[in-house]
Formats: sequence, structure tokens, C-alpha cells
Amino acid sequence: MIGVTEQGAATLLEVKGVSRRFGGLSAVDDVSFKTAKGEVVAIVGPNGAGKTTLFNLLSGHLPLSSGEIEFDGQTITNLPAHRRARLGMGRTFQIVHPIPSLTVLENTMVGAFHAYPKRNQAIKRAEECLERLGLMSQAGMLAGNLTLGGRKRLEVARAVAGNTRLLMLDEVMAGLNPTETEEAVQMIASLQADGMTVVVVEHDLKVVRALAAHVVVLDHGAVIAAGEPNEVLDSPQVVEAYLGTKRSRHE
Amino acid sequence: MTKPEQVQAGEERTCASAKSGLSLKKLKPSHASMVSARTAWASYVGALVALAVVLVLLKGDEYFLGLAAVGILFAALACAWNIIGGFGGQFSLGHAVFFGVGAYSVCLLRVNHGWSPWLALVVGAVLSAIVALLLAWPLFRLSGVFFAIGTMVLAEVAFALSIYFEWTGGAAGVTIPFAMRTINDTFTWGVIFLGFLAACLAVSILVVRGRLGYYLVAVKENHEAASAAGASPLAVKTIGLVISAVLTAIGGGLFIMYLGFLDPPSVFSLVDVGVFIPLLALVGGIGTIVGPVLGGLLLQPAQAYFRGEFADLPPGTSQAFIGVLLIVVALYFQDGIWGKVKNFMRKKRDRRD
Amino acid sequence: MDLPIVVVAGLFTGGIYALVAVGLNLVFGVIRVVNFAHGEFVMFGMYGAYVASLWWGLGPYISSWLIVVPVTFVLGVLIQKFVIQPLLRQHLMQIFATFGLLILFQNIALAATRGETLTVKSSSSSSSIEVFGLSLDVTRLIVLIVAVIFTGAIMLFLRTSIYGVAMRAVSQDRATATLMGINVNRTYAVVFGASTAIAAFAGALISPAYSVTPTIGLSFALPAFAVVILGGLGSVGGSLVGGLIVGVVEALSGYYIDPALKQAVWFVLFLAVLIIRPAGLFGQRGDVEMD
Repeated sequence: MIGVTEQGAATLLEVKGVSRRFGGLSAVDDVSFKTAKGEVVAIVGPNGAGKTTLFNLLSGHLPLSSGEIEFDGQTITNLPAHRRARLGMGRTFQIVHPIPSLTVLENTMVGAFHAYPKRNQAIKRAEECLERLGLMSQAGMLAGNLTLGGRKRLEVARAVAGNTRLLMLDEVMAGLNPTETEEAVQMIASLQADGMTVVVVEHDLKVVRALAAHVVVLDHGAVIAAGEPNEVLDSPQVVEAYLGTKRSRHE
Repeated sequence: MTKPEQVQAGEERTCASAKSGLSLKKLKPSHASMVSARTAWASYVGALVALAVVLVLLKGDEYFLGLAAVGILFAALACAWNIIGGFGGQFSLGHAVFFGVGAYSVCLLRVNHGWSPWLALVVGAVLSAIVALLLAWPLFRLSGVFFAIGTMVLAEVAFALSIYFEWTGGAAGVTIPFAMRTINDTFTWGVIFLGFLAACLAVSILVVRGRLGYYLVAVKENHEAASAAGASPLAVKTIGLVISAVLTAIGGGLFIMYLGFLDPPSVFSLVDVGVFIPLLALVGGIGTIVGPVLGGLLLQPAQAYFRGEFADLPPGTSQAFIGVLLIVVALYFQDGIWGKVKNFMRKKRDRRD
Repeated sequence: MDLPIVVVAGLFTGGIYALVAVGLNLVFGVIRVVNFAHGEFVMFGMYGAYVASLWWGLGPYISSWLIVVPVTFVLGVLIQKFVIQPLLRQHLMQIFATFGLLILFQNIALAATRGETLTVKSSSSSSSIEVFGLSLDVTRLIVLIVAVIFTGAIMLFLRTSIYGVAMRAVSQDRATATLMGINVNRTYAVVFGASTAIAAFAGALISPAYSVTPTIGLSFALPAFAVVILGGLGSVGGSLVGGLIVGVVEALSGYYIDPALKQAVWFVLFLAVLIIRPAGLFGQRGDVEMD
């Protein structure tokens, strides 16, 4: 059962009416969207819009209150996080989570093991990923000693190491300087060129316009707009939702 | 830090495993698991040979031979505990339960049903695996201290039950009649215990170098990152616990075959087993491969020796000393002997660059 | 029917457990440390009452206030400063260290008494009063009453007095409390000292009813853990309710099944709470479980 989006490409991720309620409050309210294979989709919205909660629902770190999620045609709504990772969904965290007492290489191996169970296979795969992400020179360093930029790249390396098909990046640009941001954009673009499907949560709308083919705008947990970046981000509704945060209104 | 030429060599290299071992060495492994397979297993064999030599040298002196033999056994038990307690970071105060299951299985099956003790060992191992599986789900939901409390309460319950039930021999325990004891020679037992240590160490090395070891560390340090990477925290911890439980049960069975006698305190005692084994791992270096073995080899015979030498002191003096040791080590010596050695070597390496 | 007697006996035991658990709970609630040696302070209180009775002829109801409480408070403060404070964020080492204290105290007691069991003689040792046709042991009744009053007093204190509020502030948010001018370390020292003093106080009070042995500490500490989990971490009122429940369940199972299986009862309660509702009766979610 493969869904088809406007471009005619196969759907990798389908989110149907997903909600998460805490007591009486809806952190995520009836959100639906589709992501085609090889696409970059950005989830944007003002602070507190529910973006990271939505991510946690997608990756399995938070259970749904209602709705369904399908990954490559398979219903994953009730699968725990580690099972989703094994199916090919990798994610990074907004606050980076390196494993401090392991080296950079070993951190990446942890991500590789479910697809490359043997030690030597995992080492080789981890080294490939580190080379890809420019971390090879620090492979032997303890993850706790990396700079923030290094740790973010390590998160990505670990997330892609296991034959990942859908990469979910949660505010991966946060805290990076302009040079690092540019490098990160290049890296995401190159991953996409190799066939990776990417879903990003992003505050930096310049990055969103540069990378994403499709944007979903959240406000107070609900989708208020979706479509191509240039259409959506300039629409009066979205601008109003962001009103007050001058910083995010890049021209 | 690595030098540019070494990085070049790493990048150009193909995927031959022997070469990857070499290039990793140049990348300054900070983790025991990253030394090459050759180094790891060579050190393993070397250590075992050294211990065998010690046993041979002590042959003839029953007292010291006995100390060494039991020291080797407890080194193995510390090693087994370390798999879940050190690598996995799940501080179990209840390993006495697995120890006891193994010991009682051997004793009861041998004495009451005439089973071969080796077969009984297998039964004990299987039983303790089942116990570990059953306990994993409720206990592993608990964070740190509460897991420790839960395992401690469990050990106390096992203690109470073993006194309560008649078929366990009650408070008096069970004695294996002399006629039923096949091996009575201390040297032979020393060799058997050394074989057991070899097994526990080998399992430790395989765990640390393989997927389970990495998953255990990942789950210990960061639950969410581990599950995002594809590791199920519950499954990982459960497997670690089962492996640790099985080894501990075998150790318990072997110990009882050696002693020829068991009673509830000797098996379920918090001081002598439940907290003592983790202490051995701590003193030697928790979470390392070498540490627990070192702790067991040094501390257990030392403690037995002092208890013997100072037997005329008021009862409980040597145990009070263990209490003090626990406090002092927890405050000032957390890395343990091997941990300090590793830190020292790392500082030397970093300074050399 | 024997049932009322059994229930009353359970309530009495429960009162003791509650009193012992209150201190444990306070330490966990405010300092976020589990003191495995907590039961040893109960034993200390019992020995203190014995010594006070032997050397100075003081009854336990006097010696407990005059001697046992102050001495134990000071001891508790010292332990907190030198053993607990340095290990505040290191949970694994806290376990080792407090266990070390447990073993140390147990064996000091063993060495000092050479394993002898000691009993305090008191005027109320074997007296009982009649209430509703039941013959109740005075000592235990006093302990139950004290437990209820005491728990109520502490709850009031935490809610209304400035020091109580400070303690609650520290337990909720260490950093902010410091910014508000609360001396967090001193709060910790006082709370720990108080918890050990309460435990010793309980020990002194029950000394007429129990003979003290070096290993008696754990037989109060273990049920206290079950009580803390059942009542809910950080909830003082929960400790009282939990304590009474544990006491009654223990008494009932002792009557209908077998008194030797006390420990099994504690464990079953402990496990049951953890499986059904880890937060306990009055606790907050997330304190005990991981996810």
C-alpha cells in the first residue's frame, strides 16, 4: 500500500490524525501529513507549537493519544522506539545525547549495530559514516570532549549508521554559528542526494527555504498551513503566528 | 589526539579486519573494548597462565592454596556481577539469590536425589536464568537506587524463605556427606575455579567487544539515545542480567561442592555475598574487565586471611573493617585500582602528544 | 474473634514502621538520597535507651528526649557532612557508602555486645490497658499515638513554618532555592540529622517492647522501604498511611499464613506497588520509575 504525493513519488512516512493530550491540554492536535521518499520536509512553528512533541510521537519516545503513523506502508503506531529505529527511522535530539564514556567511533557503532551486528562490520560502517560527516579525525576522542558542533554531527552519524531511510533532525542548527550552519545545510543536502528522506524541525527559516520541498506549519499543536516553503512561509496566517519573533522573519 | 598521517592511513584503508585493528590502535583507544582482538585474548591467556603458575607454586601449603583457590572463585563471581552491575550500571544487591539458587540446586539434587553435581549445576543455571527473566520486567522499570533496593529486598526474602521451608534444610542447611564428595583435593578445586574464571572472563570479553556490551553502556548512560539507536533498554538489561545470573549460579554451585556444606547465612548473607561481590568489583575497578578480577584476587584472600589471623578480636571486627572499606572506597577511590591505572596511562599518553 | 486483636497488633507495628519511614522519606524527598543505614539508627536509639536505663536509671520516655535524640542528631549531621554531601550526585557510590555505614554500625554493635541480646526494663514494660474490651499493650499504644501526632506535626511544620517551606523549596528546586538565599547544605545537614534522630527516637520508644540485637536494624529498615514506596516518595502523610497498611497486612498474613514469612510480605507489597502504581498512594509519578 504505497501512497502517492503530488510529485508521484512513493510515500515513506504518513502521519494520520496524530494527537497527544496531557490531561485536558492537546500538545499535538490532529496532525496529518505525508513525506515522499527522498524529500526534505520541514516542520516549523513558533515556540511551544508542539514540534518536538510531534517528533517524539513519530520516533516512538512518546505514545499517541490518537491517530496512526505509517512508515513505508507499515503501521508503526504501537511500535516502541527501538523497533522503529530498526525499521530505518533515525533521529537526533534537540539537546544532544552523546554517550559520554564511549569514543566518537563507538558512539556511531551503537547506531550501526542493529543493521551490522558483527563487531567488524559495525566498525567499518561507523568509519564510513564518520568520514561522511567529517568526524574521522576525532574518531578516537571521547564523545564528551567534542564541541557542540561536533556532538551534533555525531548525533547525525549515529542516526544514519543503521541503514537509515528516514532521518529526523530536531533543531539540529540550534546553537551553531553561520559557518557551521552552512556546513550542516550542505551535509543534509548531500544526504538527500544519496536518497535519504529527511524530516527537520527548524527555527531558522532561511535553512528551511534552502532545503525543504515541503513545509508543515504548527501552531498550538495543530497544522495551520502546509505546502511549498515560499507559498506557506509568506502567507498572512503563518506570519501572524510568528508575529513578535522578528528574528525568524528572514527576508 | 591523532596525528594527520595516522588519519590518512585510516581513511585509505580497506575493510580488512586485522588492519582496522591496527588503525584503531593508532587512534588511541580509550575503551578496553577497542584494543585489537589479538591483544585482548593474548592478555587473557597470559593472565590465566600466571594464575595457574601461582596455584602450582602454592601446592603443598593447604592454607594458602585454599585462600588462592577461593580468591579465584570470587574473582570470577565479581567478573560475572560486573557484566550487569558494572557494564550495565544496574547495581544489583541481589546476586546472592542467583548464588543461592545454584548452591541449593547442587546441594539438594545431590544429597536428596543422588544426582551428579555437574548435572545439578546445569539445573541451577537454568533455574537462575528463569528467576532473572521473571524479575527483569518489574525491577528494570526502576531507576538506580530503587533497583538496588528491590534486589536487596529480594535477597532478604530468599534468605527468609530458605530458613522457612523444610525441604531447603531450614536454618541448619544441608551437608553433603563425605562419601558423596568426589573431589576433595584443594589443588584440583583451584584448577576448577580457574577454569570457571576463564569462562567468566571470556564471557566478559565477548560481551564488552560485541553488540551487547555497547548497548549496555548506551542504555546505562542514556536511555533515549539507546532506544533511538535501535537498542531496547529492557531487552538489553535483561540479557545482561540473565548472563550474569547464570554465571553466578554456577559459581554458587561450585563453591558449595568445594565446601561440602551450606546454610542460609553463608549463601544469602548481605555482607559476605550480596554487598561483598560488588565491593570486590568496586575496589578493583568497576566497569572494567580487569578490575573485578583484580579486586577478587586481592581482597577476598586478604579478608579471609585477616579474619583468620585476628580471630581473637571481638566478633564482627573484620566485618566492621569491610564497612569502613566500603565507605572509604566510595568516597575516595571510586575508579578502583584498575581504573586509576587506566587514568594514569591515559594521562601519560595525552602528555606524550 | 481474634481478628480485631490481629488488626490492632498490625496497627501498632504499623505505627513503628511509619515513624521509622518518616525520616527515610524526608531524606529522600529533600536530599534525594537513600540511606541504607537508616535502620541502624533505630538500633542506636534502642541501645541508647538501654544504656541510659542501666547507667542513669532513666526510663526510655525521658532518655529518648534528653540523650538519644540530641546525640543522634549530631551524629546524623556529621555523617551527612562527611559521607553524604561529597557523594550528592553519585548514586552508585551513595549506595556503597551507606551500605558501608550499615555494616560498620551493625558490627560495632556486635563487637560491643558480643552478640548478647539486651532488654530495657521499664515501668510500662508489661502493662496493658483495656480499651473496648481488648487488652492493649501500653508501650505499643504510646508508639502508635506518638507516630500519628508526630507525622501530623511534621506535615504541619512543612506546610507552615519557614523552615518547612525552605525544605520543600530545596526538595523541588535546589538551584532556585540557593538563589533565594536558602543555605542548601545546611538544610541537608539538618534534615539528615533530623531523620536519624527520629529513627533513634522511635527506637528508644519501642525499647520496652523489643529486645535489641545487633541485626535488628534491617528488620525495621526493610519494611520502612516498603512503606516509603507504598505511601509515595516524599509524602510524609503517605508514610503514616503506608506504615499502618504494611503493619496490618503483615499481621494478617502472619495470622492466616505464617509469621515467619514477614519478609516475603514486605517484598510482595513492594513489588505490587511497583507494578501497579510506582508512585505509591500519595507520591508523584516519575520519582521511582525510569520512563
